[in-house]
Amino acid sequence: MAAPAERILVLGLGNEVLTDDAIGPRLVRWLESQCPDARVDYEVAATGGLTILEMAEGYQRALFVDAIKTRGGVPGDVYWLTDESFDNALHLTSVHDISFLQAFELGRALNLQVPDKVHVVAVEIVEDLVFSNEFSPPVAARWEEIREKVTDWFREFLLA
Amino acid sequence: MKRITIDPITRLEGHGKIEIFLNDAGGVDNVYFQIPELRGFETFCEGRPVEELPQIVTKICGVCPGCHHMASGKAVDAVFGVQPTPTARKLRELFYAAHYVHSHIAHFYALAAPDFVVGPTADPAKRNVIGVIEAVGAAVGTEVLKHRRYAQEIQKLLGGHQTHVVMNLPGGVSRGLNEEERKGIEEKAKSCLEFAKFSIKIFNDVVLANKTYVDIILNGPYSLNLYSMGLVDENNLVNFYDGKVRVVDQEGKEHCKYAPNEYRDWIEERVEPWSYLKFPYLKQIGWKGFVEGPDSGVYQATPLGRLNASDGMATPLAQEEYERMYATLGGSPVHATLAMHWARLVELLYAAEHLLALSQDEEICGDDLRTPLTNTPREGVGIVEAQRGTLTHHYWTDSNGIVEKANIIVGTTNNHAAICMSLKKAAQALIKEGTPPDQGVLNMVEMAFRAYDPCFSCATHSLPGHMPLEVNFHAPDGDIVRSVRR
Repeated sequence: MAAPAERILVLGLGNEVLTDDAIGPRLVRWLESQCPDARVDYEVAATGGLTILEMAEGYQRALFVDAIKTRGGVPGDVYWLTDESFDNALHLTSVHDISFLQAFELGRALNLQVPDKVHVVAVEIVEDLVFSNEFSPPVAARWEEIREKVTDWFREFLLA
Repeated sequence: MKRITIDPITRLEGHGKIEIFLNDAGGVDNVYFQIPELRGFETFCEGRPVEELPQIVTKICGVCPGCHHMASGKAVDAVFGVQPTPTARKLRELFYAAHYVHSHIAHFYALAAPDFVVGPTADPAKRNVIGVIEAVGAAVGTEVLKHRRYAQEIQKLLGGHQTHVVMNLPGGVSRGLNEEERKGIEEKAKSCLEFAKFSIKIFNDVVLANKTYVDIILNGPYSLNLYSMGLVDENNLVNFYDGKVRVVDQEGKEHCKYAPNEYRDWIEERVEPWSYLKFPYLKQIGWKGFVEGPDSGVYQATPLGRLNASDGMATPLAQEEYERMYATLGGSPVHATLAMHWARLVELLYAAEHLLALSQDEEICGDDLRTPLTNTPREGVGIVEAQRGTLTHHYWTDSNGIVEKANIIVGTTNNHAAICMSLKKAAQALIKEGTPPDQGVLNMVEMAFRAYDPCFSCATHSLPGHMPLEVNFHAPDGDIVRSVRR
């Protein structure tokens, strides 16, 4: 009997009209055009917490693509993270919703089928508080480099 | 492949801040609450066809997209001087009832319940939704997710997408319901209603049966004597989707009741140099500072504010619970901030009942989905009740319907002054002179604003998916003497 087909969720997180916050959704749309794969569902969302848990249920693997701001970070730098990178954030008290990592913890506590490990591609951004369809100049200048790097990583991820 | 470990608590910018200023004796002098605000939405809208705005505004916020979509759709109706058809209006209300069910379940179980089920002074590592599930059982957690999913599926079916809703068109909606879909919604609505009743029971068993919690709600430092605002129908019953905005004073006497296009006669917005967000207040009363009482124009537009501003609920079970709440808490209006949790559950019950009633309405599968547009567009205001407060969208266009200007007052903004005042009152009462506050005390200060269900998600899209909160303690000379991040 054949093993059930693996299902992979690739989720671009961010607001598509909020300057650099659109980096996640735009990268996921790019990956969808470059890496068609029957195992993969490409989705975008500007949400968090419980909604992400609902979206991720039923998948064996998940890759989130999101924006990040780190102190001293260089705009356009790209990080490949796993949920282990966020250990310290697992039990934060949130202001409105629970964190997505806490949401996954909840899913596991309820024996839902959620990915064992969450992979995250995070792109260092500059501006996410101003409405615009365009990236900030520093991120826009590195857009091609960003998407090529993420595509290379993503192809490795698919092979794993 | 580059791997790094990041602690986003300390590295993420754009978080909420509570600044607590201490006096010489170590007591609390003042408290400021600061959050980032998105900028440039009006400019972003300018030059676009106004009928695009209901789709664009869903991207303002990942938590309240349905609210913005509804307010925007109504504003666009007003711009074109048209009313949606009876079926279209009912479909919009059906969607919106599901939106409320979805949101209120999340707040109660993920945000409110940890304080009461796990305990307000419990270990922060346990005081979260996981701790709630450990306390009440995994079966309840499964039901929470199941009913959120039901509500989400209804929204997706009607709205075309769970967050990027494409339902509202000028004068109507983009799709109707067939009988098979209606039956599916009806079954989910029945289940949601049972779950709403169960949630009320949990509140009874866990909160109201605990004398300490009732004492905290009624006698703790969580009371503000403010005006109350909410949308009401022609019988002054709570209505999330349509009606007039009613404001009552501290005794429950009507201060005003205005139609959406009159909002600027009654609401003014104040700017403070220390905050990006504005502070709306009642124009006829005036801004007297962050003070309570009838001479201060500060108001609340919350679940409790909505119930205070109304004469009741439009569905039987919610009305029963409304009456029980006010009988228990001493009559309307109630000024106990933590009673918002109970009010939110009354609204959950109403939303579920309304959802079921609409799913059984004989007109809901009609095919009269749009009213033809015949008027020249110009200006329009749309108001709905977002879960977090009264939401106003106001658009101006040229005669071709191209947007010249937009103005939005979002739900949480209405409550900005009230949140600041609640925090200050709680901090002054709970933080004792000469005793550094522990985690439990800090959480009880946070409870003062968590009750409002403030929505800052528009600033939280960056990792880790929610907005951290920072509490800074300032000595009398302004230096930060202690900083706590969550």
